[in-house]
Amino acid sequence: MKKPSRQSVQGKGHTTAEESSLKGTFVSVLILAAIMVASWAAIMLLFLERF
Amino acid sequence: MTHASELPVLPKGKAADSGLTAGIPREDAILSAANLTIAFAALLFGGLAGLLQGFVRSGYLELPSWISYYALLTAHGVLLVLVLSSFFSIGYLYAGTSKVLGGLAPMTRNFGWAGFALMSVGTAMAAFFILAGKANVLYTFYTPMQAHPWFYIGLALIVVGILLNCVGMFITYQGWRKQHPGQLTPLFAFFSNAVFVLWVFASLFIAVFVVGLVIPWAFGWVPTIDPMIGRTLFWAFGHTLVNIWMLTSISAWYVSMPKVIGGKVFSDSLARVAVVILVVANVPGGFHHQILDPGLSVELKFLHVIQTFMIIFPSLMTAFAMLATMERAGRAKGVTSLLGWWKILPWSDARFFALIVAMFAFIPAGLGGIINASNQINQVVHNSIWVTGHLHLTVGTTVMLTFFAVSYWLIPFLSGRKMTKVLNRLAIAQTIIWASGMLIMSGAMHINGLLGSPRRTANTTYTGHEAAADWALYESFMAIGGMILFGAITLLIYIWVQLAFFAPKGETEFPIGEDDSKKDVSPLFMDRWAIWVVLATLSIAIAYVIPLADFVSGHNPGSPPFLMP
Amino acid sequence: MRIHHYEKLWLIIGSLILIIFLSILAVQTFVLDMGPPSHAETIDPQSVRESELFANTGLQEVGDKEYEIAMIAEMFAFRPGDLEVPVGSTVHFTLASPDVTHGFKITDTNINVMVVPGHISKISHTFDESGEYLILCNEYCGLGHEYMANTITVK
Ligand code: HEM
Ligand SMILES: [Cu+2]
Ligand SMILES: [Cu+2]
Repeated sequence: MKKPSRQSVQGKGHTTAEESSLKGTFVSVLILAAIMVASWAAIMLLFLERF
Repeated sequence: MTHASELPVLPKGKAADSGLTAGIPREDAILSAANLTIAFAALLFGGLAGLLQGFVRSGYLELPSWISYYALLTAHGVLLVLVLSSFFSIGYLYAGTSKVLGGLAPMTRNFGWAGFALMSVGTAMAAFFILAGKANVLYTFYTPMQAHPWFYIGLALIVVGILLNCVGMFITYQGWRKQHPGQLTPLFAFFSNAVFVLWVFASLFIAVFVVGLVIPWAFGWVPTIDPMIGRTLFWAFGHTLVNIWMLTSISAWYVSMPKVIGGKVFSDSLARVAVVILVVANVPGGFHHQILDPGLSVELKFLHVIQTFMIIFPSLMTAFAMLATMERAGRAKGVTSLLGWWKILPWSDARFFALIVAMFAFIPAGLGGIINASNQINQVVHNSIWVTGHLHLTVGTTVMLTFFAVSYWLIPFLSGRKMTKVLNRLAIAQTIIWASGMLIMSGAMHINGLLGSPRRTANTTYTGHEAAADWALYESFMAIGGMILFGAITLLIYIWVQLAFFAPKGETEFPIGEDDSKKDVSPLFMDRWAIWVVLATLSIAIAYVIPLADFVSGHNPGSPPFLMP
Repeated sequence: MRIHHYEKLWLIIGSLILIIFLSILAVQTFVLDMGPPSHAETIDPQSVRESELFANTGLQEVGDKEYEIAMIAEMFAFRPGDLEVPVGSTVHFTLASPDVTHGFKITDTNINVMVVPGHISKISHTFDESGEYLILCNEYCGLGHEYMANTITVK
């Protein structure tokens, strides 16, 4: 059996290395999600206020 | 079909010889350039109309009696939404496909030129009747308002021309697949084919409407028309058109942006999945333009709201993929901090800068779209000028800035020239000016919309009503934004003319990114478009069979025409 | 096809947000009856002006602080003209068009509905605050579209 090498795309070790390197992306999309909820909620409140 | 083998072997990355321009056959480059030229002219004239509209709405300008506000608005909509976007997407996708598939098939060129001719004649006809004041029906031409019958013939010619271009693209795409059995088509070609598949769906709806219903009625052969069928067919087309722009734009985000920033495509296979979801789930979204229509049940409307929300999903994928592409590129250059990779992106490269600003504009644009599509919340914004603000963020900013970015490599690629430092700097300035003009104008439109100001309405104070008095301030901002934008258009045209005719000769690359994970390739069936077309047809059937059967069953009374001179 | 762990997480979070949005909308629509106006009833546009429904145009008191009114939306006016109701009134509007498509919008309220020829539109609102509300057409309906407006005064 070959050891799972760093180069092997399916290799476990490789995946964790990649994951640690996409933290910034994850944080960025979470900010996006927050803006999404806030803007939707704001117009929803306007709708309820005018109801 | 053996077109690719007939072509000379392309000198990879070397200067063009007599038969080639920058690595694609000269015939293809000319076809692409012809399409782009019309697109750019449409931007100039459409933008001019927009500038005047902004001044009229804010009361700074009174139009001469021979032209109405609504004629301008019709011209603005038709030129920018139908003409600019179709000619640009054809010019860009034909050139890119020629590049990645090693030239277009000779038959494709024939279809391309025939389509180009029909579309150009159609555009000229439509523009003539609009300016002559015989087609004050806006780009949606809702029946039973009626324009001059030959205006509709012009529109029909545009649609048929687009369909010919679709056939052209399919010939090259399928020809390449036949010659490369067992090979996946390049990602760019995959995007390109998807756009033209959507064009076919979109065109069929509008063709049935215009040719089957409107033209016979406009010539007086049929006395009445059902306005609801028209609205439904129009928006099946109109909404698909939106995704045609988006797919065309994100093809540059997914395929070219990685190369521009010196990175790699984050995931070729996931990009294809996003494309397929967009194609399959897209058309039914059209109904979210009809949430406040009578005659459609609440349950049916909610079904469509759900279907609309489904196409938000690929955008979530896109957001992640774009950020991940940039983060990986930064990590590869050794950045270790959480968000430090943002800093080392090539901000001073106009190609990247315009793309990233386009992506940022897509945040408020997309969020606005979610709000608009949220069933009863639509009552807050429907037909208010908020919607126009939303349009300027989506197509006016996100799509346009992407097209501008593309033009910064596509034009010199076709003309065999190079972007200079000065032009690059001007292009960055253009991006900033455009984005700020749009921010001011569409921001003011969003606010005024929430305050109740209607879209598509010439200057009025509603006999001095106080509700309308609140809008005046933001209407001034709309006019100011419009001025800034028109300035940006003139700057852009200067850059384009320079890139096409005057920039120093040289070789410009058409950036095509490489896949990051070569081993994680898509299965071959992704290229079998028959599957996706069948699925898309199914999803259209779920959405449209009930209401259209209901309308066609004939209990809706018809409407006689009302001429809009 | 390999999906990165964080991407999976993001797609789940994003989808959950969308599902929450949809659930709120569904509860409002199907439980609280706050859905968009969706009346389904047809009328021949060429007979709107003669029809009984739109003949007696004026506010009809149908209950305590509850009114009904049938309005014609036509190029370029809403008939009858300006309206007046007491504070706290609920008004049920019934609309139809004898010509082209119009829009019926009252500022500062959620009243917003399309009036498509061939169909009767219905929409209701309770006016809890006094003031003069602007009623306007928000769908382009021809060269006089910007003149198509009225008021409803709540006292
Ligand atoms: C100089 C730049 C521009 C200015 C000043 C401008 C201004 C305007 C104004 C004032 C309106 C009409 C508002 C109304 O009465 O409803 C409008 C509508 C619209 N604009 Fe623009 N615009 C510009 C560029 C663009 C671009 C580049 C696009 C898209 C490619 C675009 C797409 C639209 C659309 C789709 C509408 C709605 C048309 C309709 O409701 O029929 N605009 N624009
Ligand atoms: Cu009207
Ligand atoms: Cu109107």
